Amino acid sequence: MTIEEIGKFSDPAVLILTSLAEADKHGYAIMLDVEKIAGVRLGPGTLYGAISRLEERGYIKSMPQDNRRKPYQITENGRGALSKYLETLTSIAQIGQKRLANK
Amino acid sequence: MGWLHIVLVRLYPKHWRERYAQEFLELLAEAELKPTDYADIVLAALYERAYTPISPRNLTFMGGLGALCALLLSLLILFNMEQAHPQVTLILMGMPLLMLGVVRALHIRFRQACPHKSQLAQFFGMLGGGVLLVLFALFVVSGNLPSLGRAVRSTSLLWTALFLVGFTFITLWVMLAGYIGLRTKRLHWALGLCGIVSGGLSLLLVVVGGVIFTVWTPNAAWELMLAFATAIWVLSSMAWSGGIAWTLLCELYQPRTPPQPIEYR
Repeated sequence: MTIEEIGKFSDPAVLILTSLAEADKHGYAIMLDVEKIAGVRLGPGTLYGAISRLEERGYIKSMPQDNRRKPYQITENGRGALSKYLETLTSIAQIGQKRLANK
Repeated sequence: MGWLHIVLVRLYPKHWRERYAQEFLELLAEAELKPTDYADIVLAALYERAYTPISPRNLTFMGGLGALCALLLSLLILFNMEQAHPQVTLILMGMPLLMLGVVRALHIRFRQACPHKSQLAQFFGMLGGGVLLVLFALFVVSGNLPSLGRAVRSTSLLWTALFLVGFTFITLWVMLAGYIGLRTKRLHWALGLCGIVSGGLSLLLVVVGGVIFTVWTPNAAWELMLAFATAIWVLSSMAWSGGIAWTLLCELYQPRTPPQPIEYR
């Protein structure tokens, strides 16, 4: 199973997994962190669309409630999927850089 | 703005609300929402609804609702056109089917009947929408748009706009019902497909018809519009006839197997 299978929400899903790789966070904290690290503001609908799909696939899990907010934690599966995705991205980035340098 | 947040959450399907509503409301209260966020929520909710398997009972209700709309509009048209008009026969033929669709759908919805029987109500509900589409196409071909309580022929901008909005709504409904029926495998594939095909063709009629009337001069365009609408009507009718015939054949000659239970989220 790969992140791309999430479809429409796969890009936000990568950002969410990257955010959760640092620490457990609730929805609003993820939103703020993604804005900080990627400069992208995830709308609430997109955020929860991606969260629900990640949880469904076992990439993240919800933690016990903290003051009406539910933090999420990345699972081992989620770490594996993110790592695989980032490896592909890194490889593409390296090839791209090399080709640009050769021009 | 608490009420607005609650309304927005209500747009999501029930299974989603049960799991995420509380924390989502918390997020909405905490974040400073921009106008684009509201659009984002509405689109995400619609996406969530479109990709949630719908129970046969709700699908049936959709079919029945479509049939009821078609029935009411047909009645409205019937009482406002000349009785000698050739399309009267078509409306009179379509009405019993629409009635059957409504009655069957209501029965299944409110009497908790066996879900597999809902196929018949979906069939009549879809048929109701189809009859209305063909009817509207015929109105376009014959140049008679529905006129309420006035002379038969009405070409006023308001009525044309109302007609196009109503037509587009019914078209989208037929397409959606067909699509959901196919996705959930609760509607015969031939019927689902003919819903999508005839709905799509009819929608094309509205779009291309609108372009023809606005871009070209009305006098020069009328012949073209007539030819185009006739072609659409013929194709649409063929799609419906094929779909309905195939469904009937399958219903008659294939032993009905009880449907496998589906886990609805």
